[in-house]
Amino acid sequence: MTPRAFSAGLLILGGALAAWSAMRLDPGSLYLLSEVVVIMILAQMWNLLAGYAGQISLGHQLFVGLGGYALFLAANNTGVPIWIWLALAPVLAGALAIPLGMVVFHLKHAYFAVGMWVAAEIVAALVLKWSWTGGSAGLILRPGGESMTSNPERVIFFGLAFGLVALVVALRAFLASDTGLALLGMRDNPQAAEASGVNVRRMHLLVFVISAMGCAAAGAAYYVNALYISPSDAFQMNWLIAMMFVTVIGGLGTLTGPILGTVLFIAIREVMTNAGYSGGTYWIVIGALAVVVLLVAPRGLWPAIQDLTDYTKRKAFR
Amino acid sequence: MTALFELLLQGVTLGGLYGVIGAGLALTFGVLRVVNLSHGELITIGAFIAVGVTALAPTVPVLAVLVLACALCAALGGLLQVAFVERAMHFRDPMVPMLVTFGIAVILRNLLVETAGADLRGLNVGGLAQASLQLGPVIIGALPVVTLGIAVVVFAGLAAVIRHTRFGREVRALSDRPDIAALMGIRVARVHVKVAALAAGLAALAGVLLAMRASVSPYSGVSYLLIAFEVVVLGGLGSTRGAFAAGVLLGVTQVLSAWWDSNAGLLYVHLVFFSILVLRAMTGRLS
Repeated sequence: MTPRAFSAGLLILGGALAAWSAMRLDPGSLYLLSEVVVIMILAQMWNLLAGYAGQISLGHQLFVGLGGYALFLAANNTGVPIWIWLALAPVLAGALAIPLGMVVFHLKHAYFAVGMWVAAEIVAALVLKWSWTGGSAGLILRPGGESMTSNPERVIFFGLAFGLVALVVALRAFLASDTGLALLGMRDNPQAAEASGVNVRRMHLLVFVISAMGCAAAGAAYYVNALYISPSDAFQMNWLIAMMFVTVIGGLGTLTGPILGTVLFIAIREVMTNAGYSGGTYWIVIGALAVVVLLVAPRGLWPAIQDLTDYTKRKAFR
Repeated sequence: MTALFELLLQGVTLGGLYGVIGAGLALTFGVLRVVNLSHGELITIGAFIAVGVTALAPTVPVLAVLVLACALCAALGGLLQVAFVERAMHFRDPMVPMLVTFGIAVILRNLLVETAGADLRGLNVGGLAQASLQLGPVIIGALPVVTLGIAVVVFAGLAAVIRHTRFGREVRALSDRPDIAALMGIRVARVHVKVAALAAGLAALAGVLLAMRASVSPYSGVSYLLIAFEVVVLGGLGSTRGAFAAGVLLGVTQVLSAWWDSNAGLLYVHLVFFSILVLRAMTGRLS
């Protein structure tokens, strides 16, 4: 099968599965599944920066909140249908990410991590302070000033799930393209890449803006489902903790890793909650899992599984 | 005029505390080259050890509680270094130890929530909290002055240890050229453990001082970590004297901005930090 046929197949299959689930499942399951897909998208986007561009951000909760707030403010203050704003919110967040990206890419490694974190704190503090953003009370979703008449979870879930499949297909194609290869070369050896004619700064900015837009899209969709947004929720550190743990456990710098990591992350949470364990105990388990994975297989579970199957395959052929 | 002077003085005393918050992180960042994301949790654990000991045995003097909290936290820091961080440092990728300390931070924070509850707690220091000193027309709380005094002593002591002792020489050698230091027979892993323990002890000291001044919750570690980061980055990599100066700058900024705009929180502190960080990076004065 050619890569193009594989991509087309994946898109059709993913779209059909997303449509079927969106129509058939009950609202409770759809809400949970939407959260799963949101975390998968966020982790893919954090991973694009950390795993493929080698820059660890501690401030990606910024883009989740920006996407949500861009959508709420635009939808509440205009009569334009919310679905159009859902498509435009990531563009808005992406536009804001360009100047930020041009500034923070002067910073490297730990300085970049801290710079992003402080940027997120500054924006969260401003949103908390300003009255036109609703302040600490937050905003209720009232498109055009009227309350929502129907629950959006079916359409939102379809959009999110199809968006995730399209994102993975697009990222596969991107990483196989010349630009994607340049990105991988830049991660592995920035000096050599620059010497071979890769524009490192432009490449970083491109990846940074894509990453911001993806997080903003997921954030906007998540908060439409929630119908309510507040600064302490939208800009919370837990978004970042989820992105980091999911990627690190699943596999940094792989496309399957964040998917696998999210499945584990949510499955463990649901099992432990049903068994009556507290939220604190759950986080201890997840933290311990991340530490163990990092020390035993620092590239994450998915690459470790691949190594293992490669090994058994080689054994079988011998 | 007196009011402004009082504000400045408040800023300097707060800044001394910020310096102590950052001192431990400056050490691990400068010597181990590890971005220790669990530093904030070590601060809250130090505070909670002090609160717990005072609750169990109210007769124990504050100084003994302080020493105990620092010692226990130092032991914890050394243990974490041996058990996890040192192993993570064997992978050549600097991302791995940073992510490991992030996992440790989440574990420690939630262990603290599970054992001590999520409530805010403070440390009762008796009359010291209300006492104030009068210097001519200027009135200032006794506790902030004591805190500043402790901060100055700690920074002077730290500088003396780094400059004059055998351990200090090893630390300087390791932070300059780790490979050559190892060739010269310095037992690298052992120095790493000592530095991690010292940093954790300093974190506990900061935690106890914070609990005396205000209250501490298991979730406040994250905001202390950010302040510590700002102090370390502004002060310069691994520079303890710079950490003190950076702490004072941030403390004065916070007090002045609170006077100017009372519900701003740390907004202006973050803005000042971010501007300096970016300015330095753009002019190429950031490693």
